[in-house]
Amino acid sequence: MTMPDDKFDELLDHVAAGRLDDLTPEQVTSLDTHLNAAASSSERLADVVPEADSRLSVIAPTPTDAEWDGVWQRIDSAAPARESAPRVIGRTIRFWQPLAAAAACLLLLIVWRLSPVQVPPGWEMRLSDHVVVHEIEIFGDDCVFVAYSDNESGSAVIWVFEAEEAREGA
Amino acid sequence: MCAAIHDRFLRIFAVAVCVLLVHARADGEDKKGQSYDISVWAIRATKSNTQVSPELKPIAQELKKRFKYTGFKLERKKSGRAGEGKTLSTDLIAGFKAKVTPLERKGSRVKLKIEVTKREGGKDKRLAGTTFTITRGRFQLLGGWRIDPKSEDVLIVAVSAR
Repeated sequence: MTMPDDKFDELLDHVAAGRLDDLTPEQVTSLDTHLNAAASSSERLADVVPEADSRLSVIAPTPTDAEWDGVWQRIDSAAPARESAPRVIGRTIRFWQPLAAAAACLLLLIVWRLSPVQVPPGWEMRLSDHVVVHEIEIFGDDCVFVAYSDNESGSAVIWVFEAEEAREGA
Repeated sequence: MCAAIHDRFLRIFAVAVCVLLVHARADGEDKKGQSYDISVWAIRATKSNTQVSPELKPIAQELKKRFKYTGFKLERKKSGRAGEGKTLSTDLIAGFKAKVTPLERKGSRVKLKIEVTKREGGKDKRLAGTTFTITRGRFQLLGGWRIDPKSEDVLIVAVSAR
């Protein structure tokens, strides 16, 4: 449905004045359709310059050079200190640190595993007392006996007579 | 960001190595964490001389009284560590071998199992096995096997644990 020309002009006056808020959504839609349909009608807006917002009448002054210098100085002082060493060397050292740590740990592990078990000194030959023999297994034709000491210490020696010796004894 | 990743890697690696070391050291120990110090001595008893190794002097008289041997020589001494239920195996002399398994430890007493074998024909022939309870740190003797067919020297095995 086309819009009457007077109606169209009225709406276009609102647009040219920058008062889009005065239009209803239906009016905006109708206006848009009309402008798209008739290319000549949009020529009226070609030279339109929107009025400046009165709230923007005051333009803030640009910072002076001294003010800019102060800003940069504050930024530099807040930034972390840069490394004095060249970036390439710093990266190289940090790359080798974990590898060196890993190699040291691996070497420690190998040395520990290969090192002989440390046994406390002091194995003194003393026979046990109160020996309790739970079981004895002899294989073949050998004989065995348990010889307890004459004293009351209860020490014992488990002695095996090999078959040949046992026969000689018999 | 690289520094954070680097630090995290080091921490993870350090923890992994510690876990690995602890696990590695646990070999030979049972789940309860009990490990035993074991000592096995191979003694040659002979009638051909009266020499006694210094380490065996405390028991020389005892052995001479019980058996007809006059000389006692400490041929080999092996000390090691094994977990409860784990076996410590050691070569003695002349193809003899001893396997010692600590079974239990209560107060001043320790229960051991020992098996003696001899290498014959490429195999370890079982000679004897025994289980006994003794005082920790003291020795138990078992022996009587002829070391060499050409001589009358016999092997005595002394075993202790603590």
